[in-house]
Formats: sequence, structure tokens, C-alpha cells
Amino acid sequence: MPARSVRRFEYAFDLLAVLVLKELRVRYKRTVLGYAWSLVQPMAFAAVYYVVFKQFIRIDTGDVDYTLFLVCGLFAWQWFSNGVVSSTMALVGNGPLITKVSFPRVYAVLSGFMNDLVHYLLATPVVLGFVFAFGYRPHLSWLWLLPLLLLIQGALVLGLSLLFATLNLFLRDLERLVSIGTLMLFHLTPVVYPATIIPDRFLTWMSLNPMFGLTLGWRDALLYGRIDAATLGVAAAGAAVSLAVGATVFFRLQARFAEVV
Amino acid sequence: MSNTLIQFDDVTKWFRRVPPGRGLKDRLLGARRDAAKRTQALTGVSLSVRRGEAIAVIGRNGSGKSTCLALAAGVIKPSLGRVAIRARVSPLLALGAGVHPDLTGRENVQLNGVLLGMTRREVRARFESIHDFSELGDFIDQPVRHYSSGMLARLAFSVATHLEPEVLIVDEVLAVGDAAFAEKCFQRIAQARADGLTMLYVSHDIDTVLRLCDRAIYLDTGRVVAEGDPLALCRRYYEDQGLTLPAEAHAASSG
Repeated sequence: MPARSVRRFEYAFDLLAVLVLKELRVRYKRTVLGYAWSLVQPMAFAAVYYVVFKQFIRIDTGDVDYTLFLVCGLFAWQWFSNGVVSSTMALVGNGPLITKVSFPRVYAVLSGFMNDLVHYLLATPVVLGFVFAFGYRPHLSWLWLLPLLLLIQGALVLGLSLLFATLNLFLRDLERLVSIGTLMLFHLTPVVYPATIIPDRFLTWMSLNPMFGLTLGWRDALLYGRIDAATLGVAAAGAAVSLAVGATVFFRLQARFAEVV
Repeated sequence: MSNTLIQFDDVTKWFRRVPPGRGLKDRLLGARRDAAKRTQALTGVSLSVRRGEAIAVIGRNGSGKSTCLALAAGVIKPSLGRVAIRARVSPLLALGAGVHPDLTGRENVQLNGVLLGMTRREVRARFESIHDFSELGDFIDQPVRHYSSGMLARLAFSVATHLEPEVLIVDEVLAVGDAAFAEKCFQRIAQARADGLTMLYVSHDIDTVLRLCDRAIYLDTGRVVAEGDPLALCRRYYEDQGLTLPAEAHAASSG
């Protein structure tokens, strides 16, 4: 029996590996810049926000340079938004496969999730480069804070991915709703502005958004090597709910995927 | 170890006629009224596929053949009854389902091999043999979007037949590529059959049904009408449509 379970484990790993490799190979295939696009996109937006929010609106981020302020939040947001939007298509887009091959369906979502995670991890050195370039020092607490933030945001993105990928099979309107929703949420998350400018009466509602705590968490961790436990706790709770709901919906409905896709 | 590899017990399968997933408008306007409407694809089908057997499923379009195969492949679940799958089933009906146009032939071999149940090591070990069989030569390192449809079929078929499955499910796909390649595919399946491969076979090509299969199931509007000798069933199937079995089929079976 051990030989059999070793093979099963090897197979599960290989299935995930080939699907992630496919996503990685295909995403920027036939483009000149290739992987660099995953850096160009957030940097291009950072440039525009710099002009609009720093030069025009003269937003105040205290003693943190606005460029650094943006970079610390934008890449994490990019991971969230790309992850959620692209995984909404993960099952619908793999229709031919789902109707014909009985591979474990969760891999269709997992591979897209891993793809966005890999892109985020590859962008991390660039973010750290900015942090050092602006004179900030590395913190020992990064060793546990950064994995913690990765874990919470990972759970959040994976949960929403499972949920939206499944529901989109049954209600295709969701694609539009999700892309509109993430864009709206972006403006309601303190990525391009500091949380301090939010009036108190909005603050409680705003902080229910898990990306609120995560954005503040990434920024505090990268710049000062600390986090606000209460704010991040709310985000962690949101992430746990997202993963529980997403996984439940996915596994409840997965037997019907091949019929509705 | 049981000798029955796939077993259907009184299987009924229906599909909703207005499938959910058409969008909000259809849902609000149409779904409620049509909720009770179902397409009954299979009704009370029982069958068992024993080790080493090749079973042909015949019947007109829409008689439930493909639903039968999808259930046997484990892609869909029965609405009523039970389907037991006790073997590694490779659906040759998956021909090309996992092929990505922007990947090269080589990359697609790996992707499809793993999707259909092999580990990467197993695919690597068989790669030369798959490549040889496909006769694609240097094209194996070209993106698949530059392939002709015949080349694409060669690639997919070569991968699918190198899986060494316990049960092979074939849905109308033997006629791929040119005549020579189609014959080669047929020979490969015939050889695997001689080596004890179990097979579930759907085709309108009566000639190959008679040459490959030792039992047949005749489906009509989702019910099993008859089961038994392929030649007798094919003859009955043709008669039911007011046709006579092509003469060459008789010749093939008797000679």
C-alpha cells in the first residue's frame, strides 16, 4: 500500500506542477516583455497614482515617501485582484477538460491560484528593493510577519477563487460583477491613500473589508517590522470565512460541474 | 480482485432543459417555468463491463451513448442508481480536450499525459515511443497552433494510447488523420485488445465495431433495447431505421 500512496502523492504534485507551468508559460507567451509585465502593470499604475494623488491632490503620507507608500500596498492588491478576477474563469475556461476528463476539479482553481502566488513572490524582491532604496532596514520580525501575511491573504484569495469559480458556472453574470466589485473595492481600500484620512464614521465599515487590514499589515510590516494585531485579526477572520465558504460551496457542487459548464 | 471493472446499477440520468448558468435574465424569466422540464438521457440502465471485454454501445444520435461513456469515465454522476468504477479509466473521448494551442507538442504531451493519469516520470519514460508513434518529427517542438487538424489528432491519439489504461473509452475517434494513420491507430487498439485491454466503444463505423468488440449494447431513447452479439444487434439497429447492414460488414465478420 505505501507504494500506491507514494504514487498518488507524486501524481497530485505532478498534476499541480504541469497545470501551474502551463499557466506560467501561457500567460506571457508571444509577448516581448514576458514576465516583466507582472512588474510593469503595477509600476505603471503607481506612476499614474503618483501624479494624480501626490502632485494634484497633494495627499499626505507623513514621513513615508509616497512612491514607497504605493509600492508597499499595490503589489499585494495586484495579487488579490488578479487572483480573484482570473480565477472566476478558472472552471468556465477549462470547460472542455472538465466535461471530458475526470481529474480532481480543485486543481483547475488551484493552478491559477498558484500562478498568481508565484508572480507575487517573484515581485517581492522588487518591493524589498524599494524599501531598502528609501533607507529602511530589514527587520527580524519579517521572518514570521511576512509568512503570516502571505497565509492570511492566500486563504482569502483561495476562498474567493473557489467561490467565484464555482458560482460563475451557474451564473455567468458573476464575471462582470467580480471585475466591477474588485475595482470598487480597490477605491475603498487604503492602497493609494492612508487610512488616517478616513472619517471615523466610515472606519468601522471600511475595516470589515479583509483587504483593509491586509494592506495596512503589509505596509506596517515592510516599513516598521510590526503589525496592528486587531486590524489584521479582522482580516484573518474574513479570510477564514472566505476559505470555509469557498471550499464548502466548491465541494458541494463539484459533482455537477461537467453538466453546467 | 473483482472482475467487473465498471458496473451500472439501474442508472437514470437527466439533465435540466434550461441549464442554470444562462445569466440573470433567463433565470428570472425562464427558469421557474421550465424548472420541471428535464431531458431524460438514460432510464434504468444496468450494465457491467468485465475485465478483458470490449463492449460496443450503439444507437442513434441522442440515444444516450455519450452520457453512458461520461458516466463510465466518472465525469458526471448518475441522477438515480449507482455507477461503480473499479479501474483506471482512460477516456479517449478526451482527444485534444487538454491541448493548449500556445504550448509546443512536447509540452502538450506532458500536460495531457498527466491530465489523463500519468505522473511526469511515466510520461518521460514513454515520450520517445509517443513521439515515434505520432510521426510528427521536428514539429513536436512547434507550438500546436501551427499544427494541421490531422497533426493535432495524431498528437492527442498518441498520448491517449500510451496510457496503458485498464479500461479505454473510445468515442468515435478512430478515424483520425489520413488512411494510413487511421489504420495504424486501429492496429494499435487491436493489439491492446489482444493483450487483454478492456474497452467501451462508441462508433457509427459498424466495420470497426464488428472487428473490435465481443459484446454490444443497443440504446434507444436512453433505454437498453437489447444486449448481446454485435453482429445481431447491428443488424437489428440498421433494420429499425429501415436500412440493411452494409455488405462489407457481413464480409468482415464472416471472413
